[in-house]
Amino acid sequence: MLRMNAQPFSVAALKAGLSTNGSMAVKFSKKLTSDVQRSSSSRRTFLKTSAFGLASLAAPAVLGVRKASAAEPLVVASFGGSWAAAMTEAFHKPFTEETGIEVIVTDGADLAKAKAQVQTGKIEWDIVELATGWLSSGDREGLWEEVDTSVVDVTGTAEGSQYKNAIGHCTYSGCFAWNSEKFGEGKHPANWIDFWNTDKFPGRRGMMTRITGNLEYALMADGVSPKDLYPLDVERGFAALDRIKEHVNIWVNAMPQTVSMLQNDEVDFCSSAIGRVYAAQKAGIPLDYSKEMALIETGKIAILKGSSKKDAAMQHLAFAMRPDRQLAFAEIIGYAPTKLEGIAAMPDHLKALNPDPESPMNAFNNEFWWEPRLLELTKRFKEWQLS
Amino acid sequence: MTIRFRGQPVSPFMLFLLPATIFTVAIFLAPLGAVVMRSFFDQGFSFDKYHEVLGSKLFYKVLWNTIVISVTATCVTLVLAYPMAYHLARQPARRRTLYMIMIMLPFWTSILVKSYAFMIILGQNGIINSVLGMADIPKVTLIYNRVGVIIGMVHFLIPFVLFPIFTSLLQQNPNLRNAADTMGAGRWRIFFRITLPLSMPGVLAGSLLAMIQSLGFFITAALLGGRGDLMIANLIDFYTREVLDWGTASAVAVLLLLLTGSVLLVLGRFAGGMGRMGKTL
Repeated sequence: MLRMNAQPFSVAALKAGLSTNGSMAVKFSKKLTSDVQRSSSSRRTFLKTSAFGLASLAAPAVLGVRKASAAEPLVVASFGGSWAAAMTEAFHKPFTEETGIEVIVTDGADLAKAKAQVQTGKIEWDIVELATGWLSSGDREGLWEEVDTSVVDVTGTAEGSQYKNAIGHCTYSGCFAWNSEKFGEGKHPANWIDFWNTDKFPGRRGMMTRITGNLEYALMADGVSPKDLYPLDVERGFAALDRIKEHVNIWVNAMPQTVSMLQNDEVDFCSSAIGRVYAAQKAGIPLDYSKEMALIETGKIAILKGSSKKDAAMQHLAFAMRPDRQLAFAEIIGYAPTKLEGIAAMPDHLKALNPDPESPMNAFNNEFWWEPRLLELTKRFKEWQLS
Repeated sequence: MTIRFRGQPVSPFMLFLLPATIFTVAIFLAPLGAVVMRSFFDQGFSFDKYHEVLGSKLFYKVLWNTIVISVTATCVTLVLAYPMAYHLARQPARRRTLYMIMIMLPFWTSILVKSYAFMIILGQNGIINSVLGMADIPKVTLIYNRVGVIIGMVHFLIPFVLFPIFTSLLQQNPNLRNAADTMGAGRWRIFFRITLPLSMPGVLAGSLLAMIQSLGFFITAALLGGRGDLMIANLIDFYTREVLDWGTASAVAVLLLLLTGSVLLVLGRFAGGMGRMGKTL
């Protein structure tokens, strides 16, 4: 809670924070405290230590990170939650074991904060996990280091999954979900065309408060073939959105919330991401998701421009491109690898979980189509929401 | 030695204000100055950002929203807080302390935590709807819409409105009421002719506090509101975090500051005038 208060301007991060227990920040400050305590145990040091420990608990985790740079650990800005836990298990821990380079995960990855760090030259993060649109927006602002392909092996990967300034280490997909106890076979929409068909499938709808994704879903619902989405027909998309607008009860701000909205019976059918639903299913929550017309996207990581630990960070990126690590990540959280070798080695239950990128019924997100239009379309979407 | 300011002797105790002044300048005025600068300077001085903001339909819609939500929240808070303050002012001192602690309780919780608590209380399967369900009353939608925003804001604002009213009620000379009573005035007449007019400075001060805070509300609208409940602070967040356009974000922030400032000026002048009137009565 303390940490959440420290960043009141980031609703998405706050909401994501709800699903975590803040264990990383706590663990980290404990580590700091013990480091300082080791040096001496006089009363004064003790006082300093406890103050320091308290401060790093109360302040955002980032604040303390800079102080610890003597040991040169890599700082990864993450979305937090089950995602960060899986990243730690699959990539960070084994990376530390192999290279001896420590990795500190800090929640609250945020594009505005990344920009502030680059602008002021006070770099606190080395590696940033990228949400949709951050790679292209950050490219425009010059926030990312170029991926050094002599260190990072990006060969043998799914088409379109690698970028100049970021690696794609997994794929995840947008879908919609429902309560499987409430809506059995045939009672729920199966794809976006059904989702839009409120006569045949009455029920409260939930969608994300953003234009990216929604426009693609609207076009697929309107009959555009998933493989021919781009360039998006904006007018047609908004016209389709007009038809669903009154049936959407809740516009969700943050992805983790989509699951709780369904769990709390606030909505019947809610736009979500497959990995979130998978995690909920594993936790015993009776949810199911649409397997047609998925919007597949790459999970990306980039190095923040000006990081003093660029070489170690590049090593980390290389590590994240190892098929075995990507497979381990998939086992934990369900998101498929980008390395073809890893994709081929996926066990059947993971293959069934992930939509087939080759299928004509699934679409690939193209954030570079969005980049030059994102601002204008996001504004238009906000206006559309208000009218 | 006497310190003088504009020829007037200044108490040496004024020096104690120095740390607070430095603090305010360093962590409030300086960043504020930076925001103002950023709204004018992108590549050289220009009004471009203001042209953009003032030329966009989005801004006017959000501005209108903000005003409607703020006025509504302030009015609802007034209606709820006045009877509470009235009741509180008529309690014996010890019980009054207990009640005041109860009123202050929400202050001890962050507004964020409160917003989450409201999700549990107001949701489709929340406490209120469960109780309604037991009484066979159909569910009501109290959250993710305007109603949710107003409930969340009013809950936060009540102490800000209650205490100024309470103070002005407490300051009233009870003899005035006793005299009116002796002269044969009924309870309602006493209230409308004496108690209410005398408490107007408190009412105005409370409204001012509530109004100014409402204009900058952010979390409540984001967490408890629906698609039509975007407020100016949310718009600033949108420009800052979603589209990284800090110049425009700064321009919106400066416009919000101007709006808040003018409300303060207008209502404050009015409240000040009423205050003097209260004293002369």
